[in-house]
Amino acid sequence: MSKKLSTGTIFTEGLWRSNPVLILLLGLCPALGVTSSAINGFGMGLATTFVLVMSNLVVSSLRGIIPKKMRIPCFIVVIASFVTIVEMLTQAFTPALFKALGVFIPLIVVNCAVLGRSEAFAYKNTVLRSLVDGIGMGIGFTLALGVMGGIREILGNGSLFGISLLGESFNPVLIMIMPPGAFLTLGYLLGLANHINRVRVSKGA
Amino acid sequence: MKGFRDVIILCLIATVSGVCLSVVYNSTKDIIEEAKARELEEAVQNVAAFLIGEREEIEFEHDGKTFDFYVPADNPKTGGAAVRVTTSEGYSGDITFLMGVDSDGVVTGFQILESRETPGLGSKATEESFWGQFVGKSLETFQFAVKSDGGDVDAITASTVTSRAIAEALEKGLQAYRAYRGAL
Repeated sequence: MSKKLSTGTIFTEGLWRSNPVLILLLGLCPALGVTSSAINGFGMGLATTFVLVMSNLVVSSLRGIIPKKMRIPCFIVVIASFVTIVEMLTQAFTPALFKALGVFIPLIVVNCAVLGRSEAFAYKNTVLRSLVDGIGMGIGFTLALGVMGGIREILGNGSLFGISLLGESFNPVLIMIMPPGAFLTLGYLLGLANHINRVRVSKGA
Repeated sequence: MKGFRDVIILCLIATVSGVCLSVVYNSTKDIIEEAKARELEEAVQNVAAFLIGEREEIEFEHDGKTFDFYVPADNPKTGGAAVRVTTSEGYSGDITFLMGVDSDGVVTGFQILESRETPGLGSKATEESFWGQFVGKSLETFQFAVKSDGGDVDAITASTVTSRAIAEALEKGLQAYRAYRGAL
């Protein structure tokens, strides 16, 4: 990613061309773990977006101060603090979501998408550009998780956002909401993303 | 001395983070506790509507397990109770639920407080189509074991482990309440 990218491009990079889950293959642990329903996927995505944006902001504004040799510990302190804040806030204001996400909120700390953006982008870019990058990456992550959750919920439970879509006669494909279903869904989505990109490249050439 | 400067900076960042965390902790602590208390209050009302007025919380040990009883303060022994039961026999992690028991040892209600059962399978235990079968039953009139184990409980499809865990825990809860009430 060169410095010449315009602010608008940085935003769309995160949405599609460098989508953390589908293209960069970062943050796959929550993508596999929490996407048993659409609402869980979106909730996890939003929590991660908050951490991503805030840590990008802080890291980029401190990039002149944070010593190069010590940057990783500094990033982790910043990220861990925001994760703990998110944990307390969701527990206080959205207890239902907190219950559903459970152990996965503390695990945002080790989500390599967050640390990766601090290291690869925020530490080298201005506050504004890092903010845009955080929002773009966050939305891209949220969409990927939401779509995964949606697909798994429709196939595995016949519902979307908890609302029954397919009625009683539908026989749910139980494996889709169990852990193997996460791998199947992710595999097909990655294949689809690769295919779309390949078609685009060959058309552009 | 460059290394020293690096250490100071990391310490500063950690200190500022710590201060921020303590501010957020202090401002959300009460809300979190209130939310938990409200949730419990609602659950007690759902499973044991007869528990109106002042309540007492009693820890009771029976058969090597600890149960939390919420009993009416004016009639703690024979006024029925909401019993909080935790079982580790579920499919993934602990299941904690609240059951209402009236003075005759009849189940008046059931609500899952915490569980991490498989979404779409074991999580159906939160639905009335499952727990409705326990309401109005007591140890005398109902075998708290799934049908494949020779009991009366209709297990959730493809979630026998969850159903069995809950059925057994309900039975233990009822036995515990009986022991408590009987130990007059």
